[in-house]
Amino acid sequence: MTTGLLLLDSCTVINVFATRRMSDVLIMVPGTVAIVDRVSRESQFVRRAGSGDDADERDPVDLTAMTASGQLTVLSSTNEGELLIYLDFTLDVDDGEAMTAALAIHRNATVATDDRKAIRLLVARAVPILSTQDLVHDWCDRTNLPRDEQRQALLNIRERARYEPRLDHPHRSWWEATIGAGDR
Amino acid sequence: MENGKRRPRATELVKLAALSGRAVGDFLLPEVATDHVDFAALFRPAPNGRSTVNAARDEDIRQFEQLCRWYVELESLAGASLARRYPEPYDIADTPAERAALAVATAERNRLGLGDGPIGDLWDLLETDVGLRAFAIPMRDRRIAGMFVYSEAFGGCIAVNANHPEDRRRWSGVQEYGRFLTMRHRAEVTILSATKRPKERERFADAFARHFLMPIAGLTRRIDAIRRANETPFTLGDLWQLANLYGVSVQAMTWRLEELRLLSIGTWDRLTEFGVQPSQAKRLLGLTASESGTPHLPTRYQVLAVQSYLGGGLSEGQLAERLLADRVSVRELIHQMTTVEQPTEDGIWAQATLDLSQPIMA
Repeated sequence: MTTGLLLLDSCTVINVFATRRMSDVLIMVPGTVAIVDRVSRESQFVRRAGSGDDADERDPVDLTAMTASGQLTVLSSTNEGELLIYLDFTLDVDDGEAMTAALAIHRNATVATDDRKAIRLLVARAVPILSTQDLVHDWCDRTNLPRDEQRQALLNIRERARYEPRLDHPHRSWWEATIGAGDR
Repeated sequence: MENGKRRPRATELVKLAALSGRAVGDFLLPEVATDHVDFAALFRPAPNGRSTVNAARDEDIRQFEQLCRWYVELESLAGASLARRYPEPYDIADTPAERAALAVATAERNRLGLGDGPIGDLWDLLETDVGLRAFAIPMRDRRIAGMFVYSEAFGGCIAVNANHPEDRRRWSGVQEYGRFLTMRHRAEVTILSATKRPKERERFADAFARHFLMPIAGLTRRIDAIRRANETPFTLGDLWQLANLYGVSVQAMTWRLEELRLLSIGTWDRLTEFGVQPSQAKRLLGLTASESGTPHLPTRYQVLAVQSYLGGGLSEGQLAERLLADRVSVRELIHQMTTVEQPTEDGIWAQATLDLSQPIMA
């Protein structure tokens, strides 16, 4: 786990927010956790989920409380060097992903992302990568979270963010064991 | 920088993008075959035409261009260009609009092997059988019904306003198709207008939509069949079902039947005097109408985009941009496209993942 600056990109923000325990997860991350301003401006949603008729309704990803409390820092840049890297990346990924990559490279940060293309580009620039599963697994592990709460967090990711880790993800077996193989 | 004597600094480009409300990447696009296509220029009125500043319309045109550009880029990445089955442009010069529309609609229906029945999936037909790129996008200028543009790099491209009901979208789509068939090299933005004396080319587009969507022979035969089968006279319910079957508004269907003398002249006026509200009646009959405001992108475009994402060619953010959707909706779409339920040997239904890029033919 990182000890310096951890930048969350949009897909990880959505996934961790979907747990309904984002604040608890981020507390366990040593160092500063941040998003770039472009990510904070993106309108993103998760599903409400549950057994009600409104399960498919969209709930906005609202980070206001965490940014107001300082738990989540919003970063921007006017640095020519960072912006040059950012411009380079805008040819390959969207604006938020490009700024996240640029700041990570220039500020020696770790990036939390689950996006295949972003991972490929960042690994090529020797940027350390974490995934949603790394963050959530670490939180569960370090807090000794009861099994049913772990399960609920993962179910929330699956149902609210419509996300599942890839079959070859190192934490895939933990994911499956926690959710329960029969519950698909 | 304005004089082209020095390259812009990164900070200047970022500010420029912020001021113009566009993505920075738009200013940095690599040179591709579609670079010389500029929709804003194609849609610019002739020197003697009336030109009004309309920021919303400019933005709609820009989005239309962006979708077409993305579509061609996705095709290029996949090595799968859209097959064009274009006829030679129909020459309708000096032919009255109504007669020209009937002739072109009949010829096109014959060319496409459509017979004289209702057209089911119009958008699939225009893309697969003709080779047009057809999008329904929620336009900021709500008065725009549709747009059409043609260029060698993009082929024929149509956009209709997703803020309009599905039957209006279909009507607009066919109007633009009529323009493609007859005035291919003239880009056009169709504005909803209540003018009593429309121009000849607008009269043609409207008449073409009528003849193409509701061909005389098939419609007459169907009305006769309904009359023979019914013990009661032709009812309001029959009218709504017919409009739904042909994918047109009740008003358009009523006017068509009046025109063909299958209903008495003035029927629509009488219906509206009775307070008939087509949308309410459609709901009562359980007839569905697509939700207004929802973009409709060609299935092939969506598949190409998802394929590219799964192959690592697009990031999730880029995919969401291209599909005009939020990320979770995009994840749902990927799941729908790539997951099937199938029985296992134990008789239990389980999910299996499909590989969209898997060749299935040698």
